[in-house]
Amino acid sequence: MNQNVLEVHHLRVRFGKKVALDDVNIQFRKGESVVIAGSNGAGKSTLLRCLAGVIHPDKGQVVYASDLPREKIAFISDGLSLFENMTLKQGLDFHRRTFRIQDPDESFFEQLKFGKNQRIKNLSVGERTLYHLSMLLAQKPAVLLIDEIIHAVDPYLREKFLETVIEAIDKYGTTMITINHTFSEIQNIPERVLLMEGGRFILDEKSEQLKTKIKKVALDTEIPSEIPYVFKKESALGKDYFVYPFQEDFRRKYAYDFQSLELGDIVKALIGGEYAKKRMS
Amino acid sequence: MLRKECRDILIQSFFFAIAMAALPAVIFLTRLIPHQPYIAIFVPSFQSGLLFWALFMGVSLFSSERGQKGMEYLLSLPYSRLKLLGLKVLPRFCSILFFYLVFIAIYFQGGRDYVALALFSLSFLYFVLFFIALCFSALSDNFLVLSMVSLFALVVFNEVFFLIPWLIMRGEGITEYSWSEISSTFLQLEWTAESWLSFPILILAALFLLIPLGLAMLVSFKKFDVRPSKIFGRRFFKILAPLLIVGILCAALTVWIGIDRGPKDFYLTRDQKLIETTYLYTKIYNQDKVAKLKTHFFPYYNWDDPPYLYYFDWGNGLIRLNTATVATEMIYQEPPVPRHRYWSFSSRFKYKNTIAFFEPARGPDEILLVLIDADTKNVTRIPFKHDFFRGSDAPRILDSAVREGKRSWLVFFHYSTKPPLRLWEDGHVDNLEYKDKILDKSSAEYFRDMLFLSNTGGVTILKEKDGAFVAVKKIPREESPWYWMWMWIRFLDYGDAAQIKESYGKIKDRMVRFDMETLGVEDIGEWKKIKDAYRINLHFLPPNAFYYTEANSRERTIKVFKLEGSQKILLKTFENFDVQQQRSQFDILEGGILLQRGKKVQVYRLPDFQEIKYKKLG
Amino acid sequence: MIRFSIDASSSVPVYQQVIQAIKLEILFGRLKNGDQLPSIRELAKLLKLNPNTVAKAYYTLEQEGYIESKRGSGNWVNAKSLKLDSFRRGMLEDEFRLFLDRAFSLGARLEDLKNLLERYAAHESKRA
Repeated sequence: MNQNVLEVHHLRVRFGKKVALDDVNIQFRKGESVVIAGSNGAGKSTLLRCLAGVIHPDKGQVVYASDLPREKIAFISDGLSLFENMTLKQGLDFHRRTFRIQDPDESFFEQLKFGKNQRIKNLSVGERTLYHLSMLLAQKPAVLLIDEIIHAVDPYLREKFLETVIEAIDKYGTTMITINHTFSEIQNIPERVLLMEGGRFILDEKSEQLKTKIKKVALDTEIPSEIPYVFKKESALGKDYFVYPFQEDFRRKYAYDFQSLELGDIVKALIGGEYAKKRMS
Repeated sequence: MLRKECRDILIQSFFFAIAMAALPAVIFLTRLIPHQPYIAIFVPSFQSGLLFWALFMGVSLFSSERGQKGMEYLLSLPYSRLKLLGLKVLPRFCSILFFYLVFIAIYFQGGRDYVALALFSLSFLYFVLFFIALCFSALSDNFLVLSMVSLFALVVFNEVFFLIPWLIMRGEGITEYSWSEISSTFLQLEWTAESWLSFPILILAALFLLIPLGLAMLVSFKKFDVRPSKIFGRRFFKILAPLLIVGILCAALTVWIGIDRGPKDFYLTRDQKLIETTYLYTKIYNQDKVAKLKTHFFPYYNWDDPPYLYYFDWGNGLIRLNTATVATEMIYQEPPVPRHRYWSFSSRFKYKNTIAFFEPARGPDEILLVLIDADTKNVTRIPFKHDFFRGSDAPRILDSAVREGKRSWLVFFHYSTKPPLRLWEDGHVDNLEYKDKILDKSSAEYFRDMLFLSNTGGVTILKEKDGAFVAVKKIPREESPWYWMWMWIRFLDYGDAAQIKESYGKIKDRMVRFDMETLGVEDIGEWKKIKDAYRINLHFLPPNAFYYTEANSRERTIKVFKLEGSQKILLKTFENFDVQQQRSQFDILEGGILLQRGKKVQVYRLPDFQEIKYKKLG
Repeated sequence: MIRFSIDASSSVPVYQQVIQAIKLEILFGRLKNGDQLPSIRELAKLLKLNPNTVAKAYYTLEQEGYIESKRGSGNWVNAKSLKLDSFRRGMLEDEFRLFLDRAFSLGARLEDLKNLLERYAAHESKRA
């Protein structure tokens, strides 16, 4: 019986006149790996910040499981906010003391081979990202909240980081909630996909299920009206339709070649669909 | 987190301390301001440094996060917002407190002579500025903006704080105050037993104005996050506005209560006007009318000459209040005084219509007698030259008389061995000797042509004969009564010494009577004293009536006796009056009997003890 | 020893792909009975998969009788030959069906396929 590690009730956040989160309700189970995708400005970062406690919602609440202390929540965002004037060692010690980490797991930090006495402000963006991540991993976090930071890191270290996260998931049962735009490496890690648009969730599916529900079909003609699609891409080579929700019936009825998609392309199509909706309205 | 904050604050405080010590040192060593000791430059510079420090400590609450882009990280730490705020405020408050205590130490070690701001003003501004700066510190990223806003808020706070009593006074119909007078009145209040109510009133009123700020900060900070400061600011002011209105009303109420319940002094004039004085207003009750004016003085009136009351306004001069028209006029302006010569009205003398006192003259052995005609306000100055005037305070005028067609004054140097002098209006001075040397320093009184000298040996009564004073009676110390002279000396201004046939006093716990003819002292009975040393229960009313009161704390009564010859005649018993109770007073004045219980007062006419009611008296 | 990759775009769930791949490894003899399988963590890290996915695959493999999980020491290959046989047959049928679909979409008829098979069989026996 998996308990919910995080629950969000009726969350509402406004930035002045703009509504960033609009009556959001969601639950996350212990050990789940979730990816949150959506167009820019959909409210993803705001939601993550609410989960991390960095933003206090105007209405609603974030509820943590009773056995989840705040010290076990690890958060990193694209601002890469840290106390810049500290040295790397001071930063690690500060983080360890503040988050009350008993015996920190500094293996990832050791792998990075950074000089402990240089100041945080002197690191490059990529180095800073990895340093921040190593601080979080030292926490042996129960919940890992990552907001779009992995792109600045070189591919080799990106893979190293991924392996470390996988290990953490296995070792500590970490619940991982990430916001991602690029899916290439992490395709197979999230078990659940959330799509946000306009401050709300418009999709909440298990990734395996989603893959069965979306198929791509390339046609020269218009698609029959009974086949629902979420996005259409036209080019000189023809029309690509992204069918959603897909039914096996379609395969029997029509001799089209319905192709399966990987997660990155699925998300791209769904976001594209949202943009198309906006343009039409 | 606390460790980090403390370390940062420690470093900043260290630099501040260095700067505070170094800057005046530079000025001192380069003799930029010559002839000043180091401490004279240090103290005022430290005072302004302190105000800067208060501002800086408050405003820089989040400056390290803002500068190091660490705000989001700070908010992701596992602390509640309030704990975060607390961890940031605590070390800063400790630093503020530390430097304040350093200042206090320096102040009481000699620094107080060099301060630019009074201690109370500095302390008040220091802590209030820190608090205000703290409350505004989350409103903006810009250090300069925050500083400006905080300073502006401090100024507004001051204005509002002193505007309140000003408005209250205006509301009461007392329009003569400028509010800067109100602020100085408040800030110069003596912390004495009498005005104990005023200090907490000030603090309470200030708190009512400041608490809304603190509450607004606490409540809005609970939801503080990385959203732009505008959003926080909007929330902050939305909470602040109504709280501030409530706070101002509460402060106004507090001040009003403080004034209403504050210490009140009452005086009954000779023409039975009741004067009520608080530290902010004075009311004159006249039967069914009341006139209000701002308080210039506390009721020690030198002369009560209806409709006029005369009093000395130190630093200004001699002022006369017309109790009928409530108009004040300055009769005489105090001249600028050289420090080494002390000018005083202490040699008071108003005889009939002439006010007389001394002023220092140019020469060290010269003095000026100033005569003012109370009707025409004409001033005459007569210079006198005598060795006795050298190096001493002005003498007291014992008597004024017309001899050989010329006005003369008998003057005496208080608590000295010098015999009296007679000054003539043409400017010459008569030496009057003591036939027998008076070796002890004495104080003197003069009436019925007798000079009474009191000293440690007792009382010597002398009469003038051929330009010298001859002792006619010596009363040894153990047989000298208390009180027999001072209580009615004051009223000699209106009366005639010739009419006084006797006086009364006490020796230990016996009442005695002094006969002006025989110069004999006679025991006439028991004296019941009142516990408080300064309350004297003998009263004199011109032309020659003596009264004695007996208070009984247990029965809560006061008995009024008339003294005639050797007799004590009970005239009236007042019930329900405990003279031991704080701020209760029983006075027999020419206007009547003034009975004060706390802030309630009653007036009774003499000799029939009929109560005089004042309609507007609350 | 294990060499396979996961097709992220396939409609076959990832854990199924893992199961399939391990079964093939056993079938082709690259994994023998008694060999130790990589730990869940290692395989997850290698293939960039969620450990839960690998765990589910291992669990199913154990249920189906291909591997054995020993507490504390990991997972070991222990395939019943009967299981392997039925798996081989199953794979053959899947491949055959796939071939038939392909052939039919090229326009072949059952007759053509029969001829093709006979010709091929004859060729093979000549060689042997």
